Amino acid sequence: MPADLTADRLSELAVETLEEAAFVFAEAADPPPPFAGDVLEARLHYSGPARGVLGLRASSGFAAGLAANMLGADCADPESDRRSADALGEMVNMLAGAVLLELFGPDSKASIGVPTVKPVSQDSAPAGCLAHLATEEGDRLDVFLRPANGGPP
Amino acid sequence: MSYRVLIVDDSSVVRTMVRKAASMAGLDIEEVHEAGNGREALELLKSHWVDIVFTDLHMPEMTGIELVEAMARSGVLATTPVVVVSSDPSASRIEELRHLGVRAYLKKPFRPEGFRAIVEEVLHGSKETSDAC
Repeated sequence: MPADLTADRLSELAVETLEEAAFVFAEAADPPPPFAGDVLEARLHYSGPARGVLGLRASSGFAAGLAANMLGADCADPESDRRSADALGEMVNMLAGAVLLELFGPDSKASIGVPTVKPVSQDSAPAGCLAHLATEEGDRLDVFLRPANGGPP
Repeated sequence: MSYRVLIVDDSSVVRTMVRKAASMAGLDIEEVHEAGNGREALELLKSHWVDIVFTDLHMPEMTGIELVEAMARSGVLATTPVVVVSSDPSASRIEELRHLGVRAYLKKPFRPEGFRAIVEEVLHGSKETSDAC
């Protein structure tokens, strides 16, 4: 049976994944700071004992910094900017591994879909279990988990 | 000994991360080839011999599992060691991969030392890691 996942636990898993994958240090933020500029959303569908959507929202500037950290490149390197969407997509992919392990346990057969990344409005709020994070630099990151049937994740 | 490596992932960021991890792990790498999915990897393997393949599972066009199955059917590629690099946490999936002949599984995110341990296990038969399939 899928376990419940609170916003606090979702936040903890995102903090751990950001730190381990990209040396980005963040913590839960309530209320969250505003997004600094254009916002990108990376999301993927998952399936297994339950289905749903997991997503990350962050400014394009944060995503470029994320790419720089993951690539071991300089933030000013144009390559970091070019690969920012890819980096945010990969981050939601890695977070999905941690979230599905928490939801379904190690013995369930779960599947992680291919991430998609697109620009979204700063004012729109994703539905479902939502956690707000802020990095040491003050960048905002939103994490959301939405089960397909609207029930608890 | 130097190695020829193939990295298969639809994310160019991950391909770069694996390439850098291989370098940081101290592997003597002669050539690195990259492919964005299983189909591209198979095309590349027709004309390039590699010592080890690192592949993601979930990719468009042809998945990592389909790639492993195609390599097993091809005969000549059946003995090329494959390491799956994925976020997928499912133990049953890892068991399925083992039955397909995958030599090891590396869960993302990973650290260079974990990467090195897996590669040594696969290429040199070291028994110091428990992550091998």
